[in-house]
Amino acid sequence: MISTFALTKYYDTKPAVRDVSLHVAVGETCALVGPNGAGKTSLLKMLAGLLRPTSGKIEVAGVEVGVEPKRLHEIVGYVPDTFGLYDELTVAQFLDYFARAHRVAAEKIEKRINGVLELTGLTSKTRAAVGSLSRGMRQRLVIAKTLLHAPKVLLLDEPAAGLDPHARVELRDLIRELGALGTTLVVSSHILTELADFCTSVVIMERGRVVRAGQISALVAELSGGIPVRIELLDEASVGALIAELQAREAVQQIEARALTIDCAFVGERTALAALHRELVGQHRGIVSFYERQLTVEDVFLAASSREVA
Amino acid sequence: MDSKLADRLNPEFVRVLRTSLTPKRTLFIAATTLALLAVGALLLWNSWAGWLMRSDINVSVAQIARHFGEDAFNKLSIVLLALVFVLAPATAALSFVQERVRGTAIFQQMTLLRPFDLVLGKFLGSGLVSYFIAALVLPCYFAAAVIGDVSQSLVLRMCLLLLIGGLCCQAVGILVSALLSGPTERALRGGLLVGPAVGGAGAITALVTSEIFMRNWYLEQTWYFYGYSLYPFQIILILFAFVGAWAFVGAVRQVKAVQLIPTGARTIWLFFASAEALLVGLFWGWEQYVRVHYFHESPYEGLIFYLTLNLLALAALAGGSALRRGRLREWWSGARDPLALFQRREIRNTLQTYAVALLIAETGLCALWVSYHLNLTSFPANLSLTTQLLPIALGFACIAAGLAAFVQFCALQRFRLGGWAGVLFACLFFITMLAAGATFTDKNNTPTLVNPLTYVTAICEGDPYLDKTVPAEYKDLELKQVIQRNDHWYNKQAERPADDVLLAMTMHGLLAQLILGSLCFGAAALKWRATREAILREP
Repeated sequence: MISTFALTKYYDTKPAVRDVSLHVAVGETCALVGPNGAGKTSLLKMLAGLLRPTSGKIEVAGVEVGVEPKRLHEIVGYVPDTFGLYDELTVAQFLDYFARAHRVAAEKIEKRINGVLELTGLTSKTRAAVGSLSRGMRQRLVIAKTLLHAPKVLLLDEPAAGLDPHARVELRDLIRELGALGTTLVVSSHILTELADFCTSVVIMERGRVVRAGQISALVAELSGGIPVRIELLDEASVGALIAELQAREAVQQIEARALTIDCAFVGERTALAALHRELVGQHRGIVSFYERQLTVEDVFLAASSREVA
Repeated sequence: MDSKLADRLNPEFVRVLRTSLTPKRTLFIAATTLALLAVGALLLWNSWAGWLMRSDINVSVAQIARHFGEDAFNKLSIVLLALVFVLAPATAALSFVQERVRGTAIFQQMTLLRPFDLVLGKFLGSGLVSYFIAALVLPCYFAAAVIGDVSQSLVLRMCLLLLIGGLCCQAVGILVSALLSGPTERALRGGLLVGPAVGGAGAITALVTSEIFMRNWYLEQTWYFYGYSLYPFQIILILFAFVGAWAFVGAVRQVKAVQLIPTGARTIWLFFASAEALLVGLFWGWEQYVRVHYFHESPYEGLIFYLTLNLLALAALAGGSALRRGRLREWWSGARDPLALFQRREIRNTLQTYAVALLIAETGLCALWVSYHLNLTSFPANLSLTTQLLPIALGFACIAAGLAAFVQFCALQRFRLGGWAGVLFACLFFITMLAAGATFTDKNNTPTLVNPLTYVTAICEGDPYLDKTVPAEYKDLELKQVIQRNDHWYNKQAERPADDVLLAMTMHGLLAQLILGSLCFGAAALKWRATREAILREP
């Protein structure tokens, strides 16, 4: 769905995006993560056809970016990190304007507006002035406006920035719902926990370069080097004893202790892991819990970053 | 608004309409305008009635009404001019800037609205408040014209001025706004100034042009366009229509550029061609100088004016499209192959456009030259091709090409103004050369001849086709009378230099301009190379 080939963007001599080649498949929800200044916004703007690359090529659903911008905008929807709205209009008028501006057929406009309002949970605000909406509602209104022409690809730049926890949860649900509808999503954020729940692939950027990219499950397996296991203990005395026990076993690697928690990777079959579990619980009375840890985007990012730094 | 009506209208226009003319605001504006009109009419009536009563003249109500109507017509003309020439363009100038400042520009960029529709919507929408007030004032305006017994011709002229002149100013406002809608910082900085600045420019335009439309004695004058005699106001209307249409096209083009829609160079070529056609039409033919301008000007002065405008336009084109270090750094950082740079469409378009603009300027020069040398049955058909036209055209081409190279040279320096610094230096250089040339007693000196404009003066002085101060041999009676009057009044006869002196002067000037152009090219080439090496050395 989205492919970039040796994409580079310089601002004067400062590289914002360097030699980025990546591929996002149809229906994927891709997390674009990286610290501030990593080049996420520049990359998203180039994907949306809003920024001209210095060199390289982008294809979105077979349309080459920069050749036919209007055809691209039929396919792509972009939600910027910062934006303003027409505060004087009502929500319905605001959406009506963008529906017409996106060439939605006149007879379909009302239905389409009602659909996006329902999806974004703004039905009760139809007649409210845009200026009277809260930050979270404004964010949802922009997403509603972006969905009016049913884009195949949706690019969200830091969508949760500035939202309160409740609005974040709502936004997360909305993104998950959009992903379930088959829209290809690219969501950028530097707050990794925001993305962990619903992303199927990840692109990690640092200083303009892609450090790591691929399916989250594949990256997790690659980076963890085995089945990630977390053991939580009752007291510090148990931690020392258990670490000594674990170090003696070849199948247990990457042992890291943090307060009353031990993280490690188990190399082997799951049945062997179950046996280890039984054995350790039998020997060490201080074990409170023993479970397979679900690695998140955050873990992938931290592992990839540490490798990059190294 | 009825949704069926909204379906048919431009979406951007509907949006601006909903934003700027809300029902409450509309009611307030209408009430205030009508109240002000009523108070103004009352005050005016009282002042005329009181004045006429006091002046011991036996006056009837009809006479008071006539004076009142005439005065009201004049005052309302000023009000309408202010609305259409000042308020509407000032609002238009803020339309795109406001989007950028508000943060909505990015959404408009992503819509499927064509740039033409977007500009049209803003163009129609930005003048809504002004035109709404004007629509309320117009019935009173026409009523005042009827009461004051104002001539229908004047009313019609004023309507044309308000309509075409107003639309032109508004289009200029939109263009300015579109040009400033690039980077946010520029929009923020310009946003505060651009509205008043455009409004001020509109006010000056209204002041200058309204006299030509309102005063009847301008109808006794004749201006020429390709030899056809027209009223001055008709020429002004042509100019308004030309500027307005191209300002609108320019705004659409700028929006396309901002939306990264590929734009071809042909529109700019067409602009240059139409501008030259207009300019040539205004300066066309020897006869009009003799008939109309015999007090002041010679055909070659028209030629100099034409060349000056062309040189300024070419300088502006060069200044606007010169490549700065930053842009080259960006491109060379991305692709280090030096030849790849010349594959870029931006560079190819710029080079082609400059060459085409220069070619069009030269074509216009030739057309004017022909118009000054032919069509006079009494004159021998001598175009002075090799002795005058060719050297002037060649010299102009050398200087224009050298100017572009010099501007690019300056753009590669670390001047804050970039290429525009080159334009400024070039102007200063030619002004200095003009001053230096004036210190010599004769015109055969390098400072005079290196300037393509004073070069024309030097080699055309005393020419019977181009210098009207020379008594020419002709048979046309009317023209003879005119020239005789001219000679009689000024008693001046310019002497044509001897042929060998003229030839030496022609070659001297041509060589000087050729060397100057080559020096500029050399400097630009060396600077380009040095810049490239410096940039590629950077980590």
